[in-house]
Amino acid sequence: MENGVQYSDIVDAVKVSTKPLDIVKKVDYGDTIMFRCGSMKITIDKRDGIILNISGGGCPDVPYLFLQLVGKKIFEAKNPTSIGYSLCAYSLGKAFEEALKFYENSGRRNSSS
Amino acid sequence: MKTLVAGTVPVDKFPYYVGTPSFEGKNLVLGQKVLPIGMGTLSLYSAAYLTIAHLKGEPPTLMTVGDVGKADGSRILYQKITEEIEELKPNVLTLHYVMPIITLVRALALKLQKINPKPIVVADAGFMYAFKASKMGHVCNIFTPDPGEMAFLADKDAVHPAYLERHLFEIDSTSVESLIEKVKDVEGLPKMLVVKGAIDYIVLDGRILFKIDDPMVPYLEPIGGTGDTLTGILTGLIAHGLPLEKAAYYACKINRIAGQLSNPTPKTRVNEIISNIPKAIDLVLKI
Repeated sequence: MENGVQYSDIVDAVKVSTKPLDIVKKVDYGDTIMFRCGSMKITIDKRDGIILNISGGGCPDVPYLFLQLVGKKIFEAKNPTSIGYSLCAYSLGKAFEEALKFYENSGRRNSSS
Repeated sequence: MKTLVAGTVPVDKFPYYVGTPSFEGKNLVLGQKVLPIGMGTLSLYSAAYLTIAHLKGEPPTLMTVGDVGKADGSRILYQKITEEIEELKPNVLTLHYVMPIITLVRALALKLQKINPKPIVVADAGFMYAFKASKMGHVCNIFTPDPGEMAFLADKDAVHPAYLERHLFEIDSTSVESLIEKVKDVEGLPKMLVVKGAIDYIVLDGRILFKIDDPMVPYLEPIGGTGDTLTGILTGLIAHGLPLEKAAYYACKINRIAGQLSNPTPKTRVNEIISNIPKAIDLVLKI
């Protein structure tokens, strides 16, 4: 007890707090591939890394991120978490990072073959 | 019927607007300002506008304000709808992109509960998240989640789809029906859900009324705004006077056919699909 304030319980902050989702799923369409985290999806062209589409989500920065990112190359585009504000931007950022990793790894595979 | 669509637009400091914009194919004109129809509220509004215009109804009203994620416009929007809903007296109210803010959506929900007659309320995107997180979704008539958002609705403690239980995310798109089973136990949801995905589900009181998978158009999922168009068409059909179940069923069909008519690829833009809505309405409703 400090300053006369009674405590009612002691809890482990790590155990009781939740973390945002960081699992990313993929859907392969052939020349294009979609990455999804939570309700956010980003689709890139496998050949040149161009961001073809962004869909899902409900926070107001999602349509803003669509306008900022679609049509850009994923390796030149800003990470959504750096220009967005919301949890949707956070989820899109996770999907973006997986898409970037995929593109960079596929480039390495192609240059070594 | 009077229809009101409310949601933010992704333009920083765009002033509060309420009115009927003119539709110009790829753009909407709000007063002196021309805004491109990308994904989001403008895509939903355009789909509702075209559906209602094709069925010769009264054009929907748009209530909007700029917000790029800072929540400044969202706060204005919550306040304006709550203040002006009684004066605007819509029969159909569709709520879309907004920053989910529990205290503000609760005030709106309490206002909606008091209004007589209460409008038919459809909530999608941020408004759906806010109603669910505040456990006030029962004030709405319909939510329109995708499979990822179904997992969020099925997780009774989640306040945003970014925070849902991992196991629910893992099963979402592969087992939408098990999520439909789970949402029966979640309090504060509307009676009807229109679950949009590879297969669309119309759910009433936890029971699947319709499963729609024809035509199958796999490239619709990555295209930003195809969920928005479905909610917009649904809004238009409700405004035309169709019962909610029929409106939901036909909206799913019309959205799929409008998509199919566009020969979509993952890089198709939603305005190409929107332009096919009148033709799709004719094909589905046999006008």
